[in-house]
Amino acid sequence: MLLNYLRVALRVLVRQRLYTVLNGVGLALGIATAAMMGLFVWHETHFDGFHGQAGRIFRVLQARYQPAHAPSRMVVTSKPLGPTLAQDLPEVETMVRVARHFIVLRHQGTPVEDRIALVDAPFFRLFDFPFLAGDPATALKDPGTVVMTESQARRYFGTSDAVGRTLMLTSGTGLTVTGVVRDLPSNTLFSRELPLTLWTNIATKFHDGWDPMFADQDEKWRNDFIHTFVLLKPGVDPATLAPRFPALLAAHRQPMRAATPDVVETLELQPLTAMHIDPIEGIGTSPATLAAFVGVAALVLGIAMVNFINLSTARSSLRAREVAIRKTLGSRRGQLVGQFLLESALLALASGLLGLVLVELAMPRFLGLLNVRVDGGFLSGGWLLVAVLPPVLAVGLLGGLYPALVLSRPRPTSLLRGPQAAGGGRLRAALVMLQFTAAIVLVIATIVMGQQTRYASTQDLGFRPEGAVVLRGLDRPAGLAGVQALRDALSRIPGVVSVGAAANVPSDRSVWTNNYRLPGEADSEPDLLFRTEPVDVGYLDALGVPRLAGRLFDPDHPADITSRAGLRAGDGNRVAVPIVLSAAAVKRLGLGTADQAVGRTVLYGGDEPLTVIGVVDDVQFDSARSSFEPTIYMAMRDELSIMLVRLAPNADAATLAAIDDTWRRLLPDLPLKREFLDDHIRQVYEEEARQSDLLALFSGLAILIACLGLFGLAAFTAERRTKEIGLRKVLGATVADIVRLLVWQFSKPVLMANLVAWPLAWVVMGRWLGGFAYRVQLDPLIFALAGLSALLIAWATVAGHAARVAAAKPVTALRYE
Amino acid sequence: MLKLVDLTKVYRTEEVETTALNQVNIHIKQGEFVAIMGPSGCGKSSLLNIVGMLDNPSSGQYWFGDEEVAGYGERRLADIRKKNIGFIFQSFNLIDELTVFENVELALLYHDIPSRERKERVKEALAKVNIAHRESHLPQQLSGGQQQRVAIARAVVSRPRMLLADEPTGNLDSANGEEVMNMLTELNGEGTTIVMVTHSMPHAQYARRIINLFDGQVVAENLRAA
Ligand SMILES: Nc1ncnc2c1ncn2[C@@H]1O[C@H](COP(=O)(O)OP(=O)(O)O)[C@@H](O)[C@H]1O
Ligand SMILES: [Mg+2]
Repeated sequence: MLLNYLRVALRVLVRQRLYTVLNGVGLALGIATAAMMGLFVWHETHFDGFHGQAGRIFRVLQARYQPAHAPSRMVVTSKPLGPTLAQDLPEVETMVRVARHFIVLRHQGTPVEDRIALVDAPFFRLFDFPFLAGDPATALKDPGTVVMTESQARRYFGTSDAVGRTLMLTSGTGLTVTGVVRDLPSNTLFSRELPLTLWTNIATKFHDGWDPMFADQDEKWRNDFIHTFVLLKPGVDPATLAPRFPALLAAHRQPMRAATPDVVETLELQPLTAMHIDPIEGIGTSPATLAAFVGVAALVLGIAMVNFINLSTARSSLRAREVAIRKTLGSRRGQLVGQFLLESALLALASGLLGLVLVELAMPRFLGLLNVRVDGGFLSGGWLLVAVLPPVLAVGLLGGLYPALVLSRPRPTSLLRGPQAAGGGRLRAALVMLQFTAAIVLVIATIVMGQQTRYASTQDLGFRPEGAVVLRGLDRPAGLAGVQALRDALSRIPGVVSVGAAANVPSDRSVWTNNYRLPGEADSEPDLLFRTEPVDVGYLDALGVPRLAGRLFDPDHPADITSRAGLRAGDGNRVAVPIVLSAAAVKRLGLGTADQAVGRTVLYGGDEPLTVIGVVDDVQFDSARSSFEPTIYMAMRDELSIMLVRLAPNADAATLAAIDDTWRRLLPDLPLKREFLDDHIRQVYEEEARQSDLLALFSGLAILIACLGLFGLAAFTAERRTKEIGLRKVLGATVADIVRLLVWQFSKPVLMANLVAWPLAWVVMGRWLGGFAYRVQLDPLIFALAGLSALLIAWATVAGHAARVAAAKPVTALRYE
Repeated sequence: MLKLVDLTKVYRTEEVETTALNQVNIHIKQGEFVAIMGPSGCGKSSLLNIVGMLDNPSSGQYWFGDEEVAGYGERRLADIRKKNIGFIFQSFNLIDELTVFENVELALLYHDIPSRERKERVKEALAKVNIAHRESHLPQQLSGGQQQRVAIARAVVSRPRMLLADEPTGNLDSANGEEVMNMLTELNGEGTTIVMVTHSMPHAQYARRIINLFDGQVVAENLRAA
């Protein structure tokens, strides 16, 4: 009997080819989209769960609560915090700190830079990364050892069998390889937020100028730069530790200013497995992003499922007569239900398979668009089945159940009267409306995001990003010592207009902020938190920032130059340090005009006097998400890291070659890292550009799937109304009359969809734009445009069909009666 | 009014070729009442469809007035049809979703007639077939005879010169059948040319001329003594 049903089901699917293909392809597209997004979301929500002790590992966050301020959390702590926690808290079983340091080694003749993690010895006892060679328990026991990933071993030694070999640094230090681990999986913190490929003991000496500075940190409770992880003893509830943290910190960390007792500094324990989706400092995948993915996936899959259900119910209503005849022949209701379910399930299953193929083909591209790496293992059969099976089953059931129940219910005679008896037309119209609502919202979102992205990238940044070159990596003893010579040599190159060093260029995501105030202000006045940008002479010129008043830092004024150490309060240096203010800083301090600000005194950190020597225009250091931040520039020699070179319009490849040569000649042991400033700035907007590309892709898909459904429904309607259309023609309707009739029938739900979609999109996109300080206005024209295009697309989808039916000879139509 | 010369209709499907009409020659004059008879499948409906310009012949000529329309496309046929021909079917072919009034009005919607006049003409036509009291009912709420009267109203409301009826009494009992035949006779008396397919000898007697078809060919024509 089942075999008989199967044969009938297959025959029906083949006979109604158009429906089968439309249904199948639409659902496959929807399933593939949802599966890809689902896999991504699954991957992002399953970070670091694979470590045996994952449930007991926490990252120590530093939190700061202050009335009228947003609470701040930092992922970095001071160096002595970890050992203190391990000593003072019996609940802590093990503590591991992770600091990162750039090392330089010679690779195939040229100096290259690489990043190494300085970790406490038990690192590999907490984190289960499988060793190909070496012993995880002892590999990092001693200083001077190094553990590396398989690819790093191949890169530096040409083989993964590298244990016992030595990694030679240009500083002359050698690190002995004591372990090789398999390349890290994609779903770990140490692949994404804190990428690690080389590990050494935290006590290792590099002899490159870093060691004394790093050793010096052992007593510094206020320098936060190191990641601290703890392994709690089994059964310890992290919440029980929280009350003890403020006192523990207060015992070691002197407060910044005595006058801020309402500031609470404490620690928080962040579960290892939650880190990736609880992004701090913007790294990781935020719950909002995940929600957006789930939402878009649900929309696209929903549209596809609606299609499937719509088309199957529509199709089955054409079979009312068949059902009636089967019933008069004695078929029981259960058998009929079974038959419809089987057909629907077969088609859903086939779509699922097609969807799987699509995922296999499209997933790499999809991940490329997201700029995310996901291990191949996640794309293997098992996971995909988990992702694909539920929607397939749901759709197969729903698509079959409705017609099965509705059609098998009525008495045979009422069905024999004709297909109209099986109804459901209003439900279908409502579902079509829902589909187009979703599609229109997506289209509006796409357009608005595209607009905003373009607008943001054309925002006046306050400097000239084009025609400037950034050289990086001066932040080492050799580099800092050579800054002056490098600057002089670069300025002499023909085609170079101006040169200057600084700590950062805009969009470096630098976040050095300090408290400033005006002298004579009451202690109760809150400090103003300004961005502090360490620069050198020439930098502001090279950046192309307009000067508004006073003067800039000048080589002829040696007193302009200071250092971070020179700033520290209480060292007896009461000579006011010269600073340059941004226009926004002048405004926030209430200094009046730019000219009035010059010569005024500002206090740093409470009591260190600074003198304003000049004012420059505002510079966008971040992205268009934020407004111009009040900024204070100081000429700090010991903080420099980059050299900015402004090129003349006639600069060419030879100019660049000369710049490279100069670096190599003056700093032979430092790797050359050169990039164009505008390329660098563009990267900031890449994320948004990527997101809007992705959204465009999915709105396109949503519309496509919705149109597949509409096309099928139009075909169905044309078929169902054949008799009526034939009659109208007999009575004198022209082809145009009929096309208009059918097109209007499908315009109604699309028009109604607009009414629902517009306010929805208005609210959602208004919220999204609210996250940008510089943003486009929501333009009603776009809403109209999205609606109109949905309507036009719907028309184009339906019109061809309607025209074909309308053009047929009326006699053909009448034969259906 | 119309003349068919060597008219042939062949249906081709994937498997078979059916010659539904084979070299048919018929001449029908303005104001005639013609009945077409013959066994099932002999080509009566095919003939009526071609005469009604719902379909094209495979070969032969079809003179409608002084126009040869056999090769006309759907567009021009629709135009002629709209102005000249009304249809009545065995199964009534009313639109289930429309009321009686709307069904009849439909026939005028595709002519450029102002709404007021349209309404009047629909009322007039409904009164003529004695169904005016049911104008806001749906077709399912009517008996077969009533439905066919609505169909007749719809066919004549546009005042066609020729009425084509394919077994108009086939689904009706004898009393209702008689009534329909009386109406057709009345219409014919007012000058409308009528071509009717029927299986019923008594009903064929209402016509002035009977054409017998067999296997796609005209086998006999007899004029009834007036
Ligand atoms: N559209 C068609 N396709 C194929 N064969 C047809 C078609 N219409 C009618 N026929 C065939 O042509 C012949 C005449 O049909 P028809 O004109 O309907 O006869 P009648 O109305 O006298 O019963 C029949 O054999 C019928 O099967
Ligand atoms: Mg017939």
